Amino acid sequence: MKTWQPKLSESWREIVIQKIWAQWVSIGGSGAAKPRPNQEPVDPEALVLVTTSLGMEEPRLA
Amino acid sequence: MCFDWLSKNGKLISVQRLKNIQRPTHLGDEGWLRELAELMIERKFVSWKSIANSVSDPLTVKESRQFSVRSMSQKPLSISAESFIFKLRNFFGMTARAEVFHWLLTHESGHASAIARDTFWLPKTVQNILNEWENAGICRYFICGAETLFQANVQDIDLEDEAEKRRFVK
Repeated sequence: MKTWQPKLSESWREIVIQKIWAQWVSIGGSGAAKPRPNQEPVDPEALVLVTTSLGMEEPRLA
Repeated sequence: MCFDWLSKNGKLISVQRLKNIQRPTHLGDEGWLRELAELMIERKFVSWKSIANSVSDPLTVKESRQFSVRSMSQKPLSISAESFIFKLRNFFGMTARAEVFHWLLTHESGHASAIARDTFWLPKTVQNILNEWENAGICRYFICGAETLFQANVQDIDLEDEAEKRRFVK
């Protein structure tokens, strides 16, 4: 029952990090990935804050 | 990525709004935020002093990390939907007006307090802006039950209409 939970948590974390990464790139951040036109407005202050939450786990976000 | 972008575009971030989001939600890591604030202050973004002073959890030397600066970040593209808020900030200045206008353009209608909650600006500030814009014809209000709802007055500006376009260009 519990074995799937760490995998789910890891997948979820990766999805969130990818989303944050894509948002930084879409507003001009220096990333190798080209911005994908997702047409979703970015909230820059919330993006800074959530990056400080997750950036420790993902150095490239710093 | 984060600090590299902020180094280039720091003036496009509202430190006041950052605090308005951080206080009630506790979003963000305070130690990291403090370190980021100190680096921004070193780069002459002095408004970040209030962040450095308000968060109470400085990182230890062991935990402290280097934010990377590669000087490769660009200005946000003014034509993209993702960066539209920056266009509004360049137009209105770093005030609540940019977020309120953005909200009106992306929602059908709403009460001033709901707009304030969504945009993380003070209800009184948002109400004053909406009142001013209602007077100017930029937005209008209607009564729905016990609520006064505001919506953008976009239907009066039909930019698909060639005559209207010419009128605006003049």
